[in-house]
Amino acid sequence: MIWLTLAWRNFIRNTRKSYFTLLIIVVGTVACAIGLAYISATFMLVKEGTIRGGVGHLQIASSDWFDGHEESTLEHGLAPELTRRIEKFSDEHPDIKLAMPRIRFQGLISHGDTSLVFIGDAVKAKLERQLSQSFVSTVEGQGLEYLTPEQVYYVVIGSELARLLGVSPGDDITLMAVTVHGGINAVDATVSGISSSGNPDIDKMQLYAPLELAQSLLLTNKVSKFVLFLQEPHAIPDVQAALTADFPQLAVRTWQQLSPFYEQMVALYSRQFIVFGIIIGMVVALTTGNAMLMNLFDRKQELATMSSMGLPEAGIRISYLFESALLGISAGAIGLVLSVAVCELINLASITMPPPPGRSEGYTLMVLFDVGPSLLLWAGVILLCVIAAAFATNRINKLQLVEAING
Amino acid sequence: MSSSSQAIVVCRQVSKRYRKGEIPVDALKRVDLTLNPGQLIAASGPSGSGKSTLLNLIGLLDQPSTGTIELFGQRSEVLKRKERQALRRKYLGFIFQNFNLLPVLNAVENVELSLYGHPLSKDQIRNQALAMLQQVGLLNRAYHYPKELSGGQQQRVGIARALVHKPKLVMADEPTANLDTGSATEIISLMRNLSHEIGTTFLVSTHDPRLIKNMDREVTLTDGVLLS
Repeated sequence: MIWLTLAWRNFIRNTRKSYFTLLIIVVGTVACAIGLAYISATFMLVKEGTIRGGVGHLQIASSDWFDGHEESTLEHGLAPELTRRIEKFSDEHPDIKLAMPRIRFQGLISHGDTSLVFIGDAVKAKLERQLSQSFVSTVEGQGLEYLTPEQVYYVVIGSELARLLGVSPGDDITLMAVTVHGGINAVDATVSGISSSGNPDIDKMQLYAPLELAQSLLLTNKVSKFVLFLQEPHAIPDVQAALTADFPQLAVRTWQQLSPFYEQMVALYSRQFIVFGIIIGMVVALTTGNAMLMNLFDRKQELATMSSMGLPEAGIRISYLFESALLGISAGAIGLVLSVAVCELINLASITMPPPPGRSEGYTLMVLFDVGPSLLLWAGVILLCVIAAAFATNRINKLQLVEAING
Repeated sequence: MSSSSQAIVVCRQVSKRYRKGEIPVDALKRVDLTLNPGQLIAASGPSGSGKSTLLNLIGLLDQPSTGTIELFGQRSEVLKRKERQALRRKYLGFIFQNFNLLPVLNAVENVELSLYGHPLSKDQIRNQALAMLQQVGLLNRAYHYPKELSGGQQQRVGIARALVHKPKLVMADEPTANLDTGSATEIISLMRNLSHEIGTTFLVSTHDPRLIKNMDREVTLTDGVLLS
């Protein structure tokens, strides 16, 4: 007990050096916590962006559709009977919020003398809108979700495609594609709106159309796949298992399987943060170690006195380790409290970041203070302080008692 | 030199050589000395005569360059670091010229330090420390910190700390050097009384004549050589 008393009393008899050490650990903790908050926010945004941006939680389609190549249009599409069964299953399953059929198709879009290649997504826009408020972000005109059920022959096209074609909302275009029977078919449609994904390469080819328009163009009742959006993400494994059991002829993929980019990004950011954390950790460890060495030097007369009295070195060491742990506990706590405040300020400030590579639009910087990783960070700071002190206390048994006793 | 079968310390041909840069300094030269229990012994001599070195060697804070020291029947040179610590904890007490109290502990906590490592409960430790402070007349200052005590009071706490575990031998290095005459007289009287009450041997390094005249025995050192 005396060792803990000694540690506490020495800790609170703070000198300027101790305050400086505390400050460095606080700054290190804040830097790491904000780094973690930024990464957490990025992971969350990318995850939500991926799921709500169209991938959904689960997708169900023919495995050949996921992995293979279609020799003919909708070769691996889902027939109407299968489509109805999937819709019925989705309606009855309590964990499934939305089941959205989609057709992926391609062809030529013409306006006047200009014809260009498009890649189209045919959707039930009103359902898609429930998945994401930002579904097909239109910069001109209006989105497909505002169309009445009778307004089938309307499309939304990418901003670059619209510019190249020279069309604006209200203009007529013609879509041409290869049908499921191998022939060529064409339909006329009206540009309802112009969209922007933020990626010019995508906007150069993107086209959105009502599902009925695509089926009319391709002369089929099939769809490519179903995108499922669940009530809660934790239900993904259960719903996937239930779908696999009910539809063994189909493949059910999770959003992670469909977006390897997310896992790659997590791996990349995590490694970057580990390197960053190691650098900060070394600064904290060296500073703490140095501070504890200075403490040992400053208190060598006290140490030598205790040693001359035959007090066990283990106790003296424990006292130092505990004192260093107290330093880590308090500096970590101050650092985390400050981090929460800084995170709030950053979010309130609505800082606009420049567009990432390959994008044309910037985004608002957001940080997400995550309690779990932050508590781990706190534990790490305490551990570092204790390890640094453990190295410093190796000097105790090298102390020259006679010299140290006299100060 | 005197010898006795009940001697607590026997030094035989003890020498200590230091190096000050390139220059060797012989702090002690072939000293033979025996200390018997219950005595107040003054190690006197001018500054640099080797008094403190002798105390440090007998107190197991340092090791002789040559010769042997037998402490409570054990040869000091064969003792390991932990054994030396254990011996200090059990049999020895130290009183320092600069008091060397721990500034973050109050008087009673400083005294208690000497009792840690002994098989005593927390309450026993506290009670013994308070009893010792009462013996040195500082019970009313038990919960004062060193900075709140005068030099004389601090040295009395130092004496209480050195004696609370009832050691057989107390090493006191110039215990009155930093005290005024009044405090020094009090300390001398206190050491004398406690020595007789507890039966502890005091080996006191000093050139304070007030202290020397109160001792049972005086050994004099000059240039590292024991004269008497």
